[in-house]
Amino acid sequence: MKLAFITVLGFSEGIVVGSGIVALLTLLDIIPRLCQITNSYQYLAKYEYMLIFGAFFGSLFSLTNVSFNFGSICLILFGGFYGIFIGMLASALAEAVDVIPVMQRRLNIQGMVKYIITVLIIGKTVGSIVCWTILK
Amino acid sequence: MEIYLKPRKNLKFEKKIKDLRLEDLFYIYPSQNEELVKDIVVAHVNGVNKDYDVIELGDVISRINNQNSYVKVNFLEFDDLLVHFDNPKKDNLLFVRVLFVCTILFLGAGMAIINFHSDVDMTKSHKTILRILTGSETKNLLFFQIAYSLGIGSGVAVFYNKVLPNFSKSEPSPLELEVSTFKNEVQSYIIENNKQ
Repeated sequence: MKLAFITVLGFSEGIVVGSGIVALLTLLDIIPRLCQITNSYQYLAKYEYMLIFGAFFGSLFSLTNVSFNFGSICLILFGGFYGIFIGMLASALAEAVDVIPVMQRRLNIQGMVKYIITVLIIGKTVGSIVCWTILK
Repeated sequence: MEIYLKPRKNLKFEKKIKDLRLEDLFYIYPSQNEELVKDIVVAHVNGVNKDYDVIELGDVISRINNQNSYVKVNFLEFDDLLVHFDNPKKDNLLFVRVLFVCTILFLGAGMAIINFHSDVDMTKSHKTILRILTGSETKNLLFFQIAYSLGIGSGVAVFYNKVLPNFSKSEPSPLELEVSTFKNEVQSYIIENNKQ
């Protein structure tokens, strides 16, 4: 009885949390952008399933004590993929509040956006490396 | 004599095409007048190496009236047309790209959840909930957490109306809507900022 109640409670909590996380990912236009870059609009259904499984396994492995024994090459690969995802997430968040367009209008620098973006890229990369190496 | 023109959707042609005719770009109504105008060449795209071209409605009117000066042209939609050109060759890298995106999304979704759990210290709150319910913090914790993880998966599935209750036949998922609005924005941007 107690066990059944616990299970139902956990399941309902999970449904709310999952909907919330994915609503955020959908709102930020990351997936349409990826579809556009790779020209693979017809595989959208696969991407939705990937999000479902990713959320499920991420939650399961982080809460329980499951661990794998992958080598360092795998670490480099996965780190790269994580970095790409977080980079897109951060850029999409910054874009959602129209930072760069407003800067352009106020400072009157139309056509110079590519320099701003280049500097942003370098800054984010250097900042991340400094954060993990010097400030740890 | 009047004709009404409605633009076709998804205009894609091969790069080696020479002329775009009226019936390639538009549905022509009424159909009894179609024979008279359907072969009028609207644009010469001889040997393009562009990926797209914008056909302006004004040009279409001029071309039709050059051929047939007593036709009155009415458009049922007033946006210029965006025509894509591509080579019909097989795309071998598509599978690699799809795999790449799948990996990013799979790992990324997992990491978003893990980040969220660290933010709110989910393990601690789960233990608290379990203590309130059963009196012990660690006994049966795994039942709770596995059910919770399954719930997260189901939550995502419900949001995208996949798997359980499957509405995707009758209505699009939020992601499909988002993608189609994104595509429309890209198209209208290209039409507006078309500087050849």
